[in-house]
Amino acid sequence: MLTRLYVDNFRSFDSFEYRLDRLQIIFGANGSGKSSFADALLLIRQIAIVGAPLDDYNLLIQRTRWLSRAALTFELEAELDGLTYIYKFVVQPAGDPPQASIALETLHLAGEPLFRFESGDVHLFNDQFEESVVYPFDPLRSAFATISPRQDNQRLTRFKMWLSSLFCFRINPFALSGRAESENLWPNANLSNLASWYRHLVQVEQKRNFVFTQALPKVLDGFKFLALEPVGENVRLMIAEFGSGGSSAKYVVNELSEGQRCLICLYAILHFLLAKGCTVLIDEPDNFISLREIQPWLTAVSDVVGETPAQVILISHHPEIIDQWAPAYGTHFIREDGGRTCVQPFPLHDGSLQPSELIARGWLD
Amino acid sequence: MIAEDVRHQQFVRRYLYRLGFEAHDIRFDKLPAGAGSGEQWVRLRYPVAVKAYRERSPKARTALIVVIDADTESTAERSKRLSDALKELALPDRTTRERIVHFIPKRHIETWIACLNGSPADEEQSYKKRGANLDGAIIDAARAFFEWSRPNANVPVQCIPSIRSAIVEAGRLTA
Repeated sequence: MLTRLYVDNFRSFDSFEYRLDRLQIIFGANGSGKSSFADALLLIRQIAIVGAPLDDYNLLIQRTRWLSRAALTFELEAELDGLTYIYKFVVQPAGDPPQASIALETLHLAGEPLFRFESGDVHLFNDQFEESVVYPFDPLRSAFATISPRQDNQRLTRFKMWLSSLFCFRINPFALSGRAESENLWPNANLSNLASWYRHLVQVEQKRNFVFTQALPKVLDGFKFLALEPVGENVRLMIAEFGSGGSSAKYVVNELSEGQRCLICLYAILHFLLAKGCTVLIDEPDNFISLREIQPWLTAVSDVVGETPAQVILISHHPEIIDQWAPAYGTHFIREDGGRTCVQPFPLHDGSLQPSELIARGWLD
Repeated sequence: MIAEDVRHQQFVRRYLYRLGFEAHDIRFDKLPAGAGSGEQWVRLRYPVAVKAYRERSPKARTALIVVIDADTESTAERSKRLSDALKELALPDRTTRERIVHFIPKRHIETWIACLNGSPADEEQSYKKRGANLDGAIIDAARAFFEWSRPNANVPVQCIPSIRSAIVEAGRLTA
């Protein structure tokens, strides 16, 4: 699970450090850095797993405005199988015009090196932490992203597999497409490719798909089933059928209400990712969801976290979520006078007010 | 359900799943804002919830479950505090026919978790381990409580008195 994130010189993060638990709710004022936290986490995953050029992420213009240092630092700590992995990269401007380039990229296990990319050279270490290979690489992208699994780098591969199954979501029902022109192995951050991801899932996750479709009638009134119907060569439409008794009607998923689309996304995340033990961050999961549906989903999430190695980080302003989770799992993001983001655990209180009421009154500030 | 802490909620929720209830059938009241304030919070919410239950129960089959640690008091004393909270609002005490259930672990929910998992448990000792992950132990404890509270169940001799009281209380749910 993700245990710590350190970010420096990125948006409002100035030597920002945050230690996480298996269930986490992040709350705070608008502009306190909550969504930037999600973006930082997603950025680390994309750079280290996808390996696109750093310039695609416009990192240099996202440096903290009041700091004069050039380098951005991202450091992620994870505990896997009882061992502590620390992945870190430092980005600096290089060349003219300046481009974002990797000054340092490392992976350590319990303080011992597994990977180092520095001054344009990649140093690979085997599972016994012995340096095995050195070769030059383009510093304009992550070298870590290009490392393939081998017999002698199983520890590095373990970390990389975990990082590839770390997901950050900001569900956008307006972007969700009902067309699946291919199978997508992974969902997008906004779940716009739900249909293409689901097309993959029905092939490889049949048991989980059964549980998923069994859960939907409880949250979508009149729901009967989901199907992928062919509408041309290799193109499928994700269809939801609703009805009662003998009558029924079919809708492409993007014809459903925004709330219904979000509920399908939330239960897909629950049954296909969390049930597999993934680490998942969801920014404002309550958007568009009716009040009646928030607590049952939250309960189902708590249950899955209790039964699997899954980890859930929610960012929310919703009183329903805050009142249930904040006293035990809450982290308050604070930014004073537009300065650096800091974190505080939910404070002890005499219990005469609900957590959301304390926040609404500004009594945590 | 009014519970004083997340673990209390988890335990009863897991027990209710065993009885056949699902997430959509259960509504949890808010948790108190601060650790250590649970008892006060539950007593504050209890009369409001009882009033709502009585308004609702003629129309629908519903139940109210309260989960509160006895701490250093006895189970009976804690239950009396709940009755006193009703009196303060001039509400009649619960009747034997009402599906209002008082689960009162003594000394804490952690004592129940230990006992239901087969460990020797003493109601006078504190087993609280804040921050420890008890998820798996809670699931097993709820399963054991379900087994022990079934009709004609053979309750083990090591079962502590507050769990025996809770088994009687659970009868209100299934009656």
